[in-house]
Amino acid sequence: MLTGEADEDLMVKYQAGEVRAFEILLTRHRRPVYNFVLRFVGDKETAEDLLQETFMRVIKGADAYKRQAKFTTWLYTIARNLCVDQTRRRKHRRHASLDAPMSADEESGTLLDVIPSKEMGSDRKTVNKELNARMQGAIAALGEEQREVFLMREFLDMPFKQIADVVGVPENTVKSRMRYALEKLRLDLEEYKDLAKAVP
Amino acid sequence: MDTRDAISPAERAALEALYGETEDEPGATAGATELIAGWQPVRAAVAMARDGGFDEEPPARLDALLLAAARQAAPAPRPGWAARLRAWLVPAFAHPALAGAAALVVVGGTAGVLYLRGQGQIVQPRLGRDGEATPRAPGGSGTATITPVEPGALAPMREGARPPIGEVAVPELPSEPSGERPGPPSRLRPRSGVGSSADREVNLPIVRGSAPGVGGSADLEERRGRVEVRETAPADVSAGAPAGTPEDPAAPVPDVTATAGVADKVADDGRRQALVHVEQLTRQARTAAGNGDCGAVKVISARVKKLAAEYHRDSFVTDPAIARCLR
Repeated sequence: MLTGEADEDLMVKYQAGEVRAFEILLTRHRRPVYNFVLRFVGDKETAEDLLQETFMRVIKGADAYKRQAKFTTWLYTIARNLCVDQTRRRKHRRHASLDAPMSADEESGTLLDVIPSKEMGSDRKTVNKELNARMQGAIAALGEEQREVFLMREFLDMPFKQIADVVGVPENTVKSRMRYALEKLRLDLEEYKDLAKAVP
Repeated sequence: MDTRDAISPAERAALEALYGETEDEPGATAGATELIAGWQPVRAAVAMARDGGFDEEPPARLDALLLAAARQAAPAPRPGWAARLRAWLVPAFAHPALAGAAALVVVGGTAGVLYLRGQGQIVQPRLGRDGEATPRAPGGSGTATITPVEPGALAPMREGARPPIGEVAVPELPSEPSGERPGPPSRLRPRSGVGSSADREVNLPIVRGSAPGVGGSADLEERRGRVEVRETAPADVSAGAPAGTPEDPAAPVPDVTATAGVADKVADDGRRQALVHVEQLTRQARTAAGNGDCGAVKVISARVKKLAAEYHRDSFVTDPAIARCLR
């Protein structure tokens, strides 16, 4: 069946009119792309729009796709460019507010909420919620260039070489940006160091 | 290059080791191990957050939207060669003029092929207006080929059906009342390769082909029965009391079956047909004799002799009317 086939083969099949191939590609990549976009823009509603737009561009550009190109590189280049465009537009409109919700979700915290507190919840669920909020805040606080590199490397598990292809910079630049991202996150998540060490 | 993009060998080694992109030992590069120790908790925190539900599920409604768009934008699957051929032919032949032209081409082509192969050759046996009773063999020889004919097959021949070439046919002769003076005799027209020179330029009267005794086996059997009764007919002839006169062409013909020698030599059905034929010739000869056309009688006599010598000797020449002409 199609489910075991490589992304590139599925894309070629979709070019030939097999919609089922596209369905498998969508199932395979919708979640990583969505999370990448969500962490990049920090806004669920925008992330949904961008996810939709990303795959719409895949659909519209299917005819131009060449088998030689790696599908994920093409897909994440589209997603990343959309994210960059979106954040640039948003920069002109407003600046992030410290007390504004980080996403459209009413339950999501504000940036003030994720400022490190001295106490940690003993409950695992509470810890997770705290950690997630802190992680989201720390990622959002990264510079755009470091953020995209960090998200691609950590959340999409893309090699540095492929990230360089997507971003369009040399591999060393990618590694340098990654190094800065890790340094900043290390400082932001300092208080979770012991907890993280305990995680198997 | 932006100085911020610069990376030390230790940092590069630490990153590659941290994400498993190198097989080198991180300890080989000074300072890499310390860097790894500092970044490792970040990776662990990310993993913990993801395990704790950091990743989110995109809304399912997007899937439906995207699939609908994909279905709409997907190119139609390439049809097979048969479908493509059909798609090309259907519009072309839907036009009445093209359809008519195509039909003409098909019919003409078929006819042409049949003609070239000789399968479409239609052979119509020609009945000689000249009274020639023997149809021409395909080879053009004047000699008819006598082939066995099923008894039942004679009936349609009597009704005017035309036999295939090579078989003996009884010609359909124009109707003429018995005893009446026949019309102007038709002239034999020699055809290339048909008939002997003796056949040419001979006036031959035409006799109605439906005379008794011509036809199927039932007639033959009936006549056989009569033969029994008329066994003594030749004796009467020899005594100068002919059963029929030249003015009476419908007079009984000396039955061919009376000649036992002929009947013995010719095999059943085929022979019957041959006898019917010579019998027909005999009647024609008698009519010609009655009209005083002895030339025609002689021509017919030669043909009868050629076809059935014993019959000719025993029955044909002993016919009183014919015998008068042959003297």
